[in-house]
Amino acid sequence: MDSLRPLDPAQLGDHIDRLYRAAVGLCGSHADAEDLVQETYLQVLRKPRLLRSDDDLGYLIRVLRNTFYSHYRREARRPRDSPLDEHEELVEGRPLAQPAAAAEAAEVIAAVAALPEPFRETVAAVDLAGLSYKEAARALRTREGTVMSRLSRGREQIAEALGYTS
Amino acid sequence: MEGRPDLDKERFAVAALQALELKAPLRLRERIEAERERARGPARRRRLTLGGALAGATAAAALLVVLLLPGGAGGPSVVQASELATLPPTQPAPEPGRPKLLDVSAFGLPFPDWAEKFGWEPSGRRVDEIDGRRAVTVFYEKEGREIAYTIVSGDALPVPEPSAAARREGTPLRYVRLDGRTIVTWERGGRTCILSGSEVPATALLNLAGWKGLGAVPF
Repeated sequence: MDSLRPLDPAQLGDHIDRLYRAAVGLCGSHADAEDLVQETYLQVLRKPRLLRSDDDLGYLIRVLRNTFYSHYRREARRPRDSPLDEHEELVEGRPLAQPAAAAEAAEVIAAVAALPEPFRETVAAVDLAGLSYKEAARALRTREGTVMSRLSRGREQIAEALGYTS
Repeated sequence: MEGRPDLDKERFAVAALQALELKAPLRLRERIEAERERARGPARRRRLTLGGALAGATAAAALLVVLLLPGGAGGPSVVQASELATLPPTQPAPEPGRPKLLDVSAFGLPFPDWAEKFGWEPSGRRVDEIDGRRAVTVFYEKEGREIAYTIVSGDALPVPEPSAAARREGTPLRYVRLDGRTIVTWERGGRTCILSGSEVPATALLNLAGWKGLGAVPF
């Protein structure tokens, strides 16, 4: 049986980049992703939390996902092109060197944001936030097998959207 | 060496995703740090103890308790039991169990899973003894609001009077407003169930209380 422990607010900052990556994938917009991550932290910090395992990130991804569906789903249904100057802010103090690279990043983000929601949230959790299949299954309230099949189909659709040719 | 086309396609996508250089902007980090500082601030509501909370609630609602709720030797009043909702969870959120149910039950009654249908996610739970009765409470959250569902052991507690009557999916419900909270009570399997929350319309609480999940939630 998993032991119980309180979620330590001091450690929450460690996950901000991975949450942000997942949020960008879910929202397809950097501005919305910022708001979504902030709202997620607000939710979590509102009161002390008890967790069963060491899976802080998985817990945060679950809250992020729920917040997304509550607040941002309608907007996120419409993938939006992000202007290049927005991408230049992505890596602090280190703007993307090549406009072409920024354009490619925008294409990848748009491809993720255009996925059907079950595929999108799975790609965001595993490929963008870096959860294991097991952690993602727990965070997304589904089974590992479902995570694997959704991930596979989501990745295939992304590849096709990016112009993959065999 | 040639790979399977579908795997090659997946690898292509994974490579594209991994190449994304996405880092949270400084302004977002600063905003979150400010929120963390704020959260560390002075006393939170959740730091109450059971005794303190019940004593405080009793003082605040003394008149109403007198008017509404004779608890008596048979256990707490519904309002007293509903005050458990103001205490912090002592155990993690239950997980989904069978369809439309959580993996936690009290006295043979499973708690409903309202996430898919209503968007209320379980956020924690606690077990208490109050006036000789065991009470299991599951907390749910949605968009920053919280509600609590308590099931009390033993025979059904007296219905608060005066209270309004309603019916959902054939189940008779009673509800009162007290100190900004709405308290709904009804019976499942002869046990008293209490659902309470503030900033949540009574209609929403009544709909949740009476929801049977097409028969999945035993009453």
